[in-house]
Amino acid sequence: MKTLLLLLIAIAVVMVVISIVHPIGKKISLYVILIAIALIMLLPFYMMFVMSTLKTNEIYSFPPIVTFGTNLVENFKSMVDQVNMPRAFLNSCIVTFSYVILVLFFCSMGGYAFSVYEFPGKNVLFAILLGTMMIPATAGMIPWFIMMSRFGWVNDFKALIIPGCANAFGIFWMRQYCQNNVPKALMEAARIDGCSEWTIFFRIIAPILKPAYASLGIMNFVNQWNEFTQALIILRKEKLFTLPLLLRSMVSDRGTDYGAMMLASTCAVLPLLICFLCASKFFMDGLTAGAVKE
Amino acid sequence: MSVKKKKGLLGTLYANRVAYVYIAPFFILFAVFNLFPMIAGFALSFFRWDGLGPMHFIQFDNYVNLFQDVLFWKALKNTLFIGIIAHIPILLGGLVLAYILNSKLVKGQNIFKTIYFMPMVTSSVAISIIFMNLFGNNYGLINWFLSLFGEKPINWLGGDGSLIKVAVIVMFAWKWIGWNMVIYLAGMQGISNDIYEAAEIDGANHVQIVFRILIPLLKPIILFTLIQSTIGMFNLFTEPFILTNSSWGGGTNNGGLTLMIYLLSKAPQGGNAYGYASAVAYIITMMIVVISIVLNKVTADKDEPKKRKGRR
Amino acid sequence: MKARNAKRLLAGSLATVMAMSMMTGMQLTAAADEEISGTIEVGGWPSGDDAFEAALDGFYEAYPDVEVELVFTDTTAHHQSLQTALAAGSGAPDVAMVEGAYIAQYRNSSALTDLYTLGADELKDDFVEFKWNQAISDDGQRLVAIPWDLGPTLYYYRTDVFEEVGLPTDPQEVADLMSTWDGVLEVAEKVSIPGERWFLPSAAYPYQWLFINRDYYDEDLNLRLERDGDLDCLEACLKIRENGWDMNVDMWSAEAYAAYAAGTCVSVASGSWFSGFLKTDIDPDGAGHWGATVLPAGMPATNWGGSFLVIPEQSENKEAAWAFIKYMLATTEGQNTMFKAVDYFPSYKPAWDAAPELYTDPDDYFGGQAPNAIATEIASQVPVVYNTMMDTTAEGYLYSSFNAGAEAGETPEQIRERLGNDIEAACAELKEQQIQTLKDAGVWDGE
Repeated sequence: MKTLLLLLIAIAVVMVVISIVHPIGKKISLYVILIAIALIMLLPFYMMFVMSTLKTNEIYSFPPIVTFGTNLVENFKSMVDQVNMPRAFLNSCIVTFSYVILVLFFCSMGGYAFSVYEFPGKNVLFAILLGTMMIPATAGMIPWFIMMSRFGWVNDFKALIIPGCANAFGIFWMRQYCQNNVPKALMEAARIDGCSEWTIFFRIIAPILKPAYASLGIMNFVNQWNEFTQALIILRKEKLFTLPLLLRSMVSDRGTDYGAMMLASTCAVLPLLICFLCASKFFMDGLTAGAVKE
Repeated sequence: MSVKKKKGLLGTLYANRVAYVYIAPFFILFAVFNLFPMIAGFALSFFRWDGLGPMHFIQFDNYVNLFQDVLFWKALKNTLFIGIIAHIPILLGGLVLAYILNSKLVKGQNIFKTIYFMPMVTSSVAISIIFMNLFGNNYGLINWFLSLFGEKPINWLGGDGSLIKVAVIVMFAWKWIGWNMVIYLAGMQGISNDIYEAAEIDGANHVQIVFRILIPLLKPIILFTLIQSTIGMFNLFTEPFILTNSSWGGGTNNGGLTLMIYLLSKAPQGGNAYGYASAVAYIITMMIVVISIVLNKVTADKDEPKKRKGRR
Repeated sequence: MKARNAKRLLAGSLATVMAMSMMTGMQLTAAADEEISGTIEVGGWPSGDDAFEAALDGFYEAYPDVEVELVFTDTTAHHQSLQTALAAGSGAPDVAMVEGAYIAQYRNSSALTDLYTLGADELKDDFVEFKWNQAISDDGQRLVAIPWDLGPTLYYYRTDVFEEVGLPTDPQEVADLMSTWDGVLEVAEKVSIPGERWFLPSAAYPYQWLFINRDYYDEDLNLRLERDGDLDCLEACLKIRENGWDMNVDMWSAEAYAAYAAGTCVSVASGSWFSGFLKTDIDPDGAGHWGATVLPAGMPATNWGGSFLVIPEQSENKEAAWAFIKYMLATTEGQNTMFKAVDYFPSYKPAWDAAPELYTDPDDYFGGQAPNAIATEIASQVPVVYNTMMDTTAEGYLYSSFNAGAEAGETPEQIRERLGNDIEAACAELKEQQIQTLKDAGVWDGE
């Protein structure tokens, strides 16, 4: 441990010294820190990609292999053999997209109403809404499942889409955004022009909310794309499996083909990462635009 | 904006129908899909039920037994320890990163932001397996790295169990630091650049700016992330569970046992003590609510009370 | 309290007598039955699906109008969703696999069909007794599951490494050599190269082998950890740990699996179904360098897991479900086809005699040894034991309490005491639950 600690301390000292000596030194130190953190953030992804090109016994060898291997094709064959990746991808898309669309619709309506309208009970209702965010869903897991089976929603995507599609967090987020960005004058003007409240919301307000839609959409997309616990008890047929269930199904007591499993993880995450990287500016603007202000 | 004609309850409802219709979906869905199961769960916490046979009403036994269980206290201690330690890098790191990336000190902010946020996009099943590899005893990347410096391998996930927490903290911080950074960035965009410039002209250094200006201004946002982190901390499950090779006891000496593992080990995943598990769930809920209220109070007290009403 | 087991046995045999008097003969191979029809869903975990797929052709021949849909996921997820569906009253498959470790929590459940009502009693004598008994409710009135396979505990070892270091490789010779703890330690020392090659995945396992029948509690629900030679065993385990002869990882972890295949973890013990794991998943290229023998140091014959099939009460096609179970588990054809496919060792005794070559012929994967012959031997020696809901939790602590004790430098006695405390703490609520279940069954006379 000693050598390692000394090394780290030495690096830190050098960085402090050069940043005091010269402004350029300060810049270099900042970059070193940012890049070091970025590398740590990227390491697990890199390892995932590397492992998807290795045989299982290469993954567990010493010293560890940290460069790309040659087993990608074999792993791909094994993956195709084990699971139906396109199907799971489609399932995940169906669940996630329909969920996100509903979330955006209901939450923007709710958040907007809490933000711009004055109505009796508003504060109490909003307090209740905030309170619900603090309750872990696990409390009602069994009764929830009983309900789902009474509705006939076991093995049905509806059970994953409907119950959470108007969620407290989304309404809270949208309200914050509306609070700061909805110009009341514009609404008044529209009212005078004889627009109904519906028209005002859909024609005038919705376009203004675009950045908030983007941020809330991303957050819910990511959550739903990775949702596991509920999916596990609801979707029991292989042809209905979403990606996290598919990944889980590749881990077996009998022995897991980790190369293939990592390839499947890569396949599950890569499209998301690519979209994310390509549109990173848009995403980041969207995320940071949904400013949370009291 | 709505014209108030007192016409009784129905009249009021009708007059504000648009608002009520807009917020109705949440309350309806919540009542049906959350409230009902939660009430049922609360009732369940007074019963002993294995989900297979008859239910037995046992009053407060579940709660009494719960408070007498050493494992519950261990789990609570672990959860608080992991949560508090992990939040130092998550909150502070998130804040510092947001500050650096918000200032004009470096180029390529968007690339860094994207990279830091990437961990949020991954499924925890896959990523836990990778972290398990990194922390592996005989073949792990970290132990290999240590061996380059002549160190003996460290049994992170075994040993006497205390190092499991380190692995969990690293993984937890890895995942959430970018999220907090984004939230703080969002908050900082609302603070005009003039404030920084004025401070710099006054000769304030960056540390002073962060602590004297930024943190007070971001207080509501920090409070928001704190509450969110508290909820996240109490929900900590997948990471320690997979890192301890799916052990319902949380590994050696219960080192990785969190409250959520404890809850799920009773039901529905690790066991079938549904009544008991419901009691645990309610205790966790109570703790989250209490902590949220305390956090709210602590931050509110330092504000001048009269200012609060006037805020936009 | 000892009366309870007797009561269960008595009720079982009464039922058998009645069944015998009504029966004219046992029908081993079903003629095509077209009265039973419909679709049934069968749930479980791999490799149950491979097993069923192998035997389905035969089933369809006998029951052309039944359609079988396989719904498979991993072991933990399967039990969780089965449990949830049973509690909810719907959503369960028509036939479900249940792992041996879970049977105690299902055995009194009214959510599962009483198979006596479907005529299960006629099958009793064909199944291995200790396994059949595990599925009988505590009041002796109901039978909720039919045993599928056994897991006679075998000690698996890498013959190539044994040979390399000058040790014998023949099962009998290995068993003789390792018949004492000194012998075991001698082998451990010879095969291990600290930091590179290890004797076992974890030194905790020899201690766990003493409990692998999962008979942690007696019928009065007293924890009974004292076993013959348990302290000697712990002593040896501690030596293995001190010398770095074990990997110090879970035997089911990815690290351990990779080491079995690479020959860097030299031995491991498990139920005989592990043969199938080795052949198809862990070490498919390993033919010829594995051997299997009885547990070392004179440990008694034990059974490690093995599954059951149940029919949830909510099933709407119990007739077809029962036909499926009977074909798969209670015909030599069904059991042996599945045995060939996935090495699930039948608990259906007629299967052993119907195709002796399956059990005694040399197995190429095991270099011409015949592990199944040893397994058959062990299977006939396993005693009837009492299982409880606490078993799986208790089992988890054998591993972690040993590690904690070894890390703290404790003596064997201290480790055993620590284990007792850990199990009691972790199982407190489960024990309450177990007592309640026994009270409901009218067979608890304590407190």
